[in-house]
Amino acid sequence: MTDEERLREFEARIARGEKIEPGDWMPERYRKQLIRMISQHAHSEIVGMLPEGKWITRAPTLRRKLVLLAKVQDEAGHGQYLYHAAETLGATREEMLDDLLSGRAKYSSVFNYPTLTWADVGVIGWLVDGAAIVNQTMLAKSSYGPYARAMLRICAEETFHKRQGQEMVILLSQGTAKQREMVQDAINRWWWPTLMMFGPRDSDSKNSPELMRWGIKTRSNDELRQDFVNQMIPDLHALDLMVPDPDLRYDQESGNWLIGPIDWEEFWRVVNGDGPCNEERLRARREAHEDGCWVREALAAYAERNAK
Amino acid sequence: MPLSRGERKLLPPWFISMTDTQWPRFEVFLTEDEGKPAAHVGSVHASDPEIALLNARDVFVRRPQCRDLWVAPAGRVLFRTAEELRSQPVPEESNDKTENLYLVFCKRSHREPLVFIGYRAARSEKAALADAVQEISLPEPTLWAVVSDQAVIRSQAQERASFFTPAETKDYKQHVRYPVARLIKEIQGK
Repeated sequence: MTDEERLREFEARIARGEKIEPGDWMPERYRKQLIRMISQHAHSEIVGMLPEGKWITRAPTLRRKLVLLAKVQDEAGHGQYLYHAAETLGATREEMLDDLLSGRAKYSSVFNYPTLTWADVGVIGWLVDGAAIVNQTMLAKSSYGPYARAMLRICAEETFHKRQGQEMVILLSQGTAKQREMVQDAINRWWWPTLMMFGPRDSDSKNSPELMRWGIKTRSNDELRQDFVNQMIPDLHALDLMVPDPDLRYDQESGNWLIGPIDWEEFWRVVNGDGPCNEERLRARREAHEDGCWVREALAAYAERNAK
Repeated sequence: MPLSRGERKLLPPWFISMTDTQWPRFEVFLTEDEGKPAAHVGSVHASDPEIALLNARDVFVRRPQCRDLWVAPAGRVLFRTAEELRSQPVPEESNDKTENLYLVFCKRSHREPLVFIGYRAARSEKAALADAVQEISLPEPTLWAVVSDQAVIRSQAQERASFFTPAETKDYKQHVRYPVARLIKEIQGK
């Protein structure tokens, strides 16, 4: 078979809804795109542990501390599922970690913003994990088997993340004036970064056409973003909470909540390393890697001794 | 000798851990409940089999529904997709080696998981796979895995309580414990 014929058969398999498994023939571009996407997704989970992790020692009650610990622990596990999926394509853990710690690798830029109050933890759970669910539910239909299966596993656990955050926001919004103010302020700061999680506009997304053709993703950035907005606005308004968008309006004809312009300059600036917390996040990951060295050495020594 | 990035990418995934400088990789198989077959759920890196089981527990059993956990060094597990088998059928081997016990897993369709279908006595992984492929006809499984019983490290039955029970009691990890719909109804009712 020529590469041309292989490519056609590959695309026919995807059109039939078959899953591509490790070992199947795939175009080099497919492999590269997936490694890039999956490893970025994995890095996002690991770095995503940091903004909320900071509040574990500051949670207002024991129950909230347990819940936050469980959520952050989940994110670590999700990172592991995704690194594994990337490894089935030939990426190595060493290379991926090196890319992250060197600052070369990208991760979801929403995690480059600071968590300034306890209400941020609730808002992240509801908005950020809520947005992730919209994206991941779509990716669960991805053509690459290991990625799709990792998404299913993650989605099952992510619903708890969203609900615990939503519960917190509901309770704060119905609490004291100070609590209502705190949670509204948190929404004001996290709304736009959350919308940016869905990526650039379709017209600016250079990777999307290829990803869609090969079933890696099956819906566009703008479509998913619109779905998320339509879900969130009624639920926020039910609590008398606003989003910081003076141009927000409901379009009767389409049934869509239409948003104002996204600051794409901010998006690209933060994605490319110039956000409020990019440096801090990278430093935290490097320190964690260095500080954990003795654990890795101890385990290696233990294994070596037992192997003798 | 460490492989270059280019060389690494040409190897089948299950071969990589044998020559890499990372910690060894272990494939993980999880049995949810009595009567259910073990299913392949992913892999972990670990310095040894004991740590592999612990890491597998931490990564794959944060929620209940695990009765047994198995790990096997990734290099010892033979994976073959339906496409690979079609282009290169597994040869019947006729060595004079002794027979060993092998675990065979197959994925019957794109929607179903890769699950344990039984043990086969054979002279090698490939021979065990060839036997299993002969037996199972329609529908054509999309993916197979075979591993020697000797390479599998299993969690102990008596460890179930300490290993898996903690996951069962942490109900605050279940999304049903957050009755947001009811809360919203109450607010709207005011």
